[in-house]
Amino acid sequence: MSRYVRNTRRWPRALIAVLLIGGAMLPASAEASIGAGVGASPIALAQPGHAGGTYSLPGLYVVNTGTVTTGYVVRVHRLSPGHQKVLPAAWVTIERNNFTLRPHRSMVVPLRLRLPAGATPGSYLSNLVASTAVPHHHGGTTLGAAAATKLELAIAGQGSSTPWLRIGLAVAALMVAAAIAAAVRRSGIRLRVERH
Amino acid sequence: MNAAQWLCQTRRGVAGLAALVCVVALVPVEAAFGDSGGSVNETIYVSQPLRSVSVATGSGEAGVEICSNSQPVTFPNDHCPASDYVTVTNGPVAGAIDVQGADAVPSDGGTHWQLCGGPGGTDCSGAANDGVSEAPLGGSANYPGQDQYQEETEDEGGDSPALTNNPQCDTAYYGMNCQASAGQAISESIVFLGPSASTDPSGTFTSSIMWTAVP
Repeated sequence: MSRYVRNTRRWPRALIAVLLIGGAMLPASAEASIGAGVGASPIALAQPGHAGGTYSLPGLYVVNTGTVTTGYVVRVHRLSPGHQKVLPAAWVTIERNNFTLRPHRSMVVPLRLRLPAGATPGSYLSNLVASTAVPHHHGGTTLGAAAATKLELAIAGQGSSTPWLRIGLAVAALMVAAAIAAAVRRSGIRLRVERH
Repeated sequence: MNAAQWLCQTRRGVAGLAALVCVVALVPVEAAFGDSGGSVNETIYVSQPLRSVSVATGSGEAGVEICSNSQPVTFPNDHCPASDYVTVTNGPVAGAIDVQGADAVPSDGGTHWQLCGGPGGTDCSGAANDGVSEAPLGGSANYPGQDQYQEETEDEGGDSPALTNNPQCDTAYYGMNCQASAGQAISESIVFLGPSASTDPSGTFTSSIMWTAVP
């Protein structure tokens, strides 16, 4: 019985020791953080776009990598280096913006691309940047996190983008077909295809 | 008569061929990109790598205090360390980490303090570095003038350019060409150098620092 009592008296000490060790470890593991993540694969138009065209882009995957519920803002802003032309932010419509994510939750932000009629052919590059919304603080410096992925596209040359050229080609094809038909009729030649 | 015979022997065949050519030539390119109606959309979710960055302070707060209530910024050009260090952790994909500052905005919304002396930013318009007092940040030749301030993030390596309102390579990663490896975490401290004078009389100013993971 006395042995049992001694053992049970040891429990509080053991519990205190466990709590102290746990308490010492807690600040590191429970450290609050804010974070932002996006899908690392570039968002790109699968085929060259055409001036005046409107396209659906793959959505931007945004995830809260921090430990606190955070507001996010998505914008188009060139950060990556490269020789490509800067893709103007006005060409991209971010169809859902200024949203809040709980820790480790994600959202796919739909994107739409509208190329102006006078867009210059060539390769374009920019970045889609998902940033934590900076809250109004009472003073001091507020910290923020953001993640960016590439947004790439090419605009096809004028030759293939002008509908008049395609119409002209179609008219020319019609004229050639008519000329062949007339020549065949005048010559009296009849083509006969036989299958054996 | 098979289709080939029909095409070759009749006018209708020629007309049909021409119509086919027209249709092919005039089909809008946009239709080939899936904007046409009448289809069934199927979404398949595929796991993809994540580019991310996380920022934490030792205190767990989402911000740090510059100077403090008990030791507020004095004029001219008070040096102040932040109340806490900041740990910046790159996500699972290697890449560059950029950092960017912002204007300090007074609590009454009046005249901002602008960042100065950083690469490509506004020059500091205060007194020239006399070489005796603590130097301006980021190698600036002058101290911040009225309504100007300087801020920089430092790791143990020390010297770094002053922050600007535009993203720039985080100095803590300079030794690695500004590239952070997957999962790399670095502790940085924030250093502040105040204006020579302030137009706005507010007792608190707020600014922000943003770290960005860039491909």
